[in-house]
Amino acid sequence: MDFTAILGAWIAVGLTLFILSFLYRDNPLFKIAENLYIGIAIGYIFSITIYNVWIPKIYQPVSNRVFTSLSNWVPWVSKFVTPAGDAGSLTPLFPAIIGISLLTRIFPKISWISRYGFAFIVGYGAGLAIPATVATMFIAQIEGTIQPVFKLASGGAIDLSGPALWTSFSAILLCLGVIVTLFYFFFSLEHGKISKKVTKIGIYFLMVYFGAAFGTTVMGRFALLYGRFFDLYTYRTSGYYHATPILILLVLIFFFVYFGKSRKTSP
Amino acid sequence: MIFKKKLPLIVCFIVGILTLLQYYVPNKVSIGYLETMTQWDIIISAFAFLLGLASLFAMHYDKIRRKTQGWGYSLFMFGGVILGLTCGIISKANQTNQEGFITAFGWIYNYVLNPLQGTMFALLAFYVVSASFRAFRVKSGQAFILFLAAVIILFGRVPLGQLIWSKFMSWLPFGISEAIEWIMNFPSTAARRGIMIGIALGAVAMSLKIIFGIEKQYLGGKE
Repeated sequence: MDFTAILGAWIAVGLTLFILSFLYRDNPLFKIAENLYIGIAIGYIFSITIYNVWIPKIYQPVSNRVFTSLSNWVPWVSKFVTPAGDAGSLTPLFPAIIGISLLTRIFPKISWISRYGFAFIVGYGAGLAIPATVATMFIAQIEGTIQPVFKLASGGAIDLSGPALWTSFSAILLCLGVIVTLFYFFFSLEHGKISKKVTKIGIYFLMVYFGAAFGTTVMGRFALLYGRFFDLYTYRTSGYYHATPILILLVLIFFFVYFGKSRKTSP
Repeated sequence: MIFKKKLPLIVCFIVGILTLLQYYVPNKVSIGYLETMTQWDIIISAFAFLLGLASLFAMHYDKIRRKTQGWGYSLFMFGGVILGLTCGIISKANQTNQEGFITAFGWIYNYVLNPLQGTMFALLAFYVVSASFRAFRVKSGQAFILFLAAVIILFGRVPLGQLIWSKFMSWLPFGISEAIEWIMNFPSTAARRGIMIGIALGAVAMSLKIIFGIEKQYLGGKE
């Protein structure tokens, strides 16, 4: 077995156990893993940002443009530096300057400069959100709700056989469900006796949705847990020098020592 | 005043309106505008990441400097950043090299980041289950519906639940998979659509408020 894989298995098992140790009580092992997680995640995203944004979208086009211009003016520069790729462009400097303006937020006296960067990001996001939201979350949802009912109405004679009847019932239920749910969130008018009953039906639909969402979330979390347990199971073998049982034992020893000590010191 | 408050609002208005209009006026210029602005947004967001990083580093550095309780853990945060960044730079942010072998960056992802992230989110499974004991107290018809939907989804997706259904509910004309599919596609979708339409209306209203300078919380500060 490759040494890096064995080392990786020991680290993966150790960190998994450190985090699972929180189930018993907050402890130093969990805090170490928690802080390490934040650090590693930042380092990972930072690396991706450097190699996917800063180098290809800012450094390369700008440096190419600078070197190309320099070699036109001062020909001997091209003997030492050969720009990679095309002639480049200085345009990325504009968003880079706007981006740098964000960093002035750190210094209170000039923090107002950062407003330009935020104004750009927020304005662009807002402008982009309106058509995207209207198309996908509004029109497409209404279309998806009405279309099945519309198909029923335009189909001529209504088929009352088992499966077709069930499909029709489901389509009408979907349409009514959307209406009563929207009615529940409609606060522009005071709810009267009848509308209160309608909103109550809306709550039932919402409860089904919340229940289904809860079930799906729990299943997702447990799928992750199975993945972690599968790794612990895999790394128990002699090929990995029994990483799982040895580390479980070490964590348990640490717990006995640490919590035994704190029990003695507490009044 | 103009440079500190009004000009940023004007920038927001112009960028917002142009971005909004380009969708409804599709031509060469508007497509070019969107492509350029998308690239600009990516570049500016990369600097926004730096701002977050600076804020986090300042907080942890302050903790270490003042030696407040648990300051030692902040060293692990800095250690993690250095480790992740070093591996990323060595491997040029590639998880595998040209020969298909795993790089230091891929190793960090497989053996450190993935287990940490997976376990951290899996930990929530235990708390969600304990929370469900409180949430599933069937005190009303609505609570019963919530309970029923969750139980069908939870048990229907594991072999034990499918076995129980086939043993005791086989008299029904549909299986548990069909029941789950129907719940997800019809009553659950109906409520989800109702919520989504509400969110869409709210998002459009908020976006318009931002573009027209009514909502200006994002500017921050008092001036």
